[in-house]
Amino acid sequence: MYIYLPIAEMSINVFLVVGIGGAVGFLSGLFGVGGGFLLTPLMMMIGIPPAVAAASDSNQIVAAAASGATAHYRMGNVDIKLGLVILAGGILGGTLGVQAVKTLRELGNFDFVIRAVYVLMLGTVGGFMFLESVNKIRRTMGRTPAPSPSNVTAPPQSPKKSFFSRLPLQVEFSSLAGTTSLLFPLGAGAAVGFLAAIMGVGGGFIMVPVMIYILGMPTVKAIGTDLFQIVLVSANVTLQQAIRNHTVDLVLAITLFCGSVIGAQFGARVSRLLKGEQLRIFFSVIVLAMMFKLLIDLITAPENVIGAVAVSGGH
Amino acid sequence: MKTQSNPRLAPKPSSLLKRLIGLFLLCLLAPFIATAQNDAFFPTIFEEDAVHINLDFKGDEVRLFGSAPSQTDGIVAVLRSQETPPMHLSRKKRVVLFWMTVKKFLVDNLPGCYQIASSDPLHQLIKDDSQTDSRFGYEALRNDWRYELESGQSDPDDESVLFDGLIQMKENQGLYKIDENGARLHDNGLFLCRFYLPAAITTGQYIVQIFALRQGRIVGASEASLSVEKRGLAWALTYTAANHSVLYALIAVTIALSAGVLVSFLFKRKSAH
Repeated sequence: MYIYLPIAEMSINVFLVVGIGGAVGFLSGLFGVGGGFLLTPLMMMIGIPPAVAAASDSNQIVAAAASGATAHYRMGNVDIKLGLVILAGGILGGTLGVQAVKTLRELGNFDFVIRAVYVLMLGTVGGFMFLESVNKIRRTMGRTPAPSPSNVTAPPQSPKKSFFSRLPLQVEFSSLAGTTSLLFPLGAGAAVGFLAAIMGVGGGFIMVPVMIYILGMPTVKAIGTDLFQIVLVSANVTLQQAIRNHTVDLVLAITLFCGSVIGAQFGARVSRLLKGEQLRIFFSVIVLAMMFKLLIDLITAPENVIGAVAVSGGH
Repeated sequence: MKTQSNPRLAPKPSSLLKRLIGLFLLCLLAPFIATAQNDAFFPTIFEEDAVHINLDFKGDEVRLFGSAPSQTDGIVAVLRSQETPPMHLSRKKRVVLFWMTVKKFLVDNLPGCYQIASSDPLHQLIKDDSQTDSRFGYEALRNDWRYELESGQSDPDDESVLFDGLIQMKENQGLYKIDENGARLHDNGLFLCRFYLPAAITTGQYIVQIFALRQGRIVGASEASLSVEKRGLAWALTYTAANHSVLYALIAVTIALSAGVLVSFLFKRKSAH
């Protein structure tokens, strides 16, 4: 069964798109990422023009993230105050990052550097999370044979926390133990926003590890809070893309989120059944798989050396 | 000949009847018009003069038929879009271990769609290869296209690599095609040409030039046009996105937010039971 996409100007198999949306939505609900870093390349692989793929993905991410965030909110996993502070930092960092990209592009060919940094970062984040989680599971298995059903695993303590507790603007966040300086989450949000803008992605897959390992949040709270801020970021991106570039394909977005909103619900439920370190292992495997895919793309000869100029995007 | 019948294309009986009557009248007038123009004229007509794109559109076959001058032994029909939208393309090259985008081009003056349907292989129909290349086939497009380097350093092989890569891209999309079995010429001079317009076809006017050949020479030419238009919801969404973008953006975000929250609540109720 095919449906015509009026903005992308092509037709596409409905079941294929719903299936891809469902799979990415599941990952979104499970790990608290928007999934754009997977969805945009997948859409381009099935022939959607890059500009339409990036813009329409933002629209579907609003739906998937809203579905996942609402489910996590009911479970008490969303720290709205912290999410808004990180969002403010992300907007600040993102704006600076966009300017940096513009300047660097004017200096020369920067695309390869961006891809290489992307691969390096995915490899570092994925590898670190994988090793840390495997070690945690090994330690847990060695000490206590009876597994705990709780998924609110105590986060790895950040050594920087004591430094930030001495800074001004101390605020109490429900998901962080004690008070911390407002500058801490604001700075983390700005740093991720900057990196995300440079790499042309939304940055959920960097933000979740940052929340866990640097801010010291429990894994499921990091996931819920990240989904909350993704809803706001994606809604803003969708508005900008639709108004400025006219590249949001509503039919594509609706077809995608027919699958993703349901997938996100299942993802959020499965996240409750898993321990924090188990979630982190799955997340790191996905990140590492993406890193290998990008690395292979960089070293294997393309079928056609000529291609449409790609527009990066996602969340 | 690769043909894909499409029931959607079947014209209404009254429409087809009118077209057949029109073609019959053109056939009767053809000898007088040919004399007047001192050139072979032959009538051609599309089965439908417009292709409508709705939300269920997944490509369409269009058929063109006509009556060739006497003793015609081959037919070549060239369909091309009137629009020649500029394209931004990139070229990858291996640098040490990695394949990376090393330059970008702006390409202009190439039709968005270019298809040829002929009754026999082009090099059999036209004896003079230079004429084949200058009139038919992708080589004919080389004379018209323009490109400029937007970034990176130029190489001597840029033109050929860019042109060949672009043709490959368009062929993969189904927009460029040379079907040397796409036309059928009958002994009585009646002919039928088939073109398959893929789902990636863009809206606009399309022109088909039809050439009648005898012993390797062009003995007559004719032209027909076809329009591709969006209709129904496909048209409404495109129109709103382009002309009322703020409204479109708000609708897109509202639908997405509502769908996400609604499904979440539906799942909550389901799990509560």
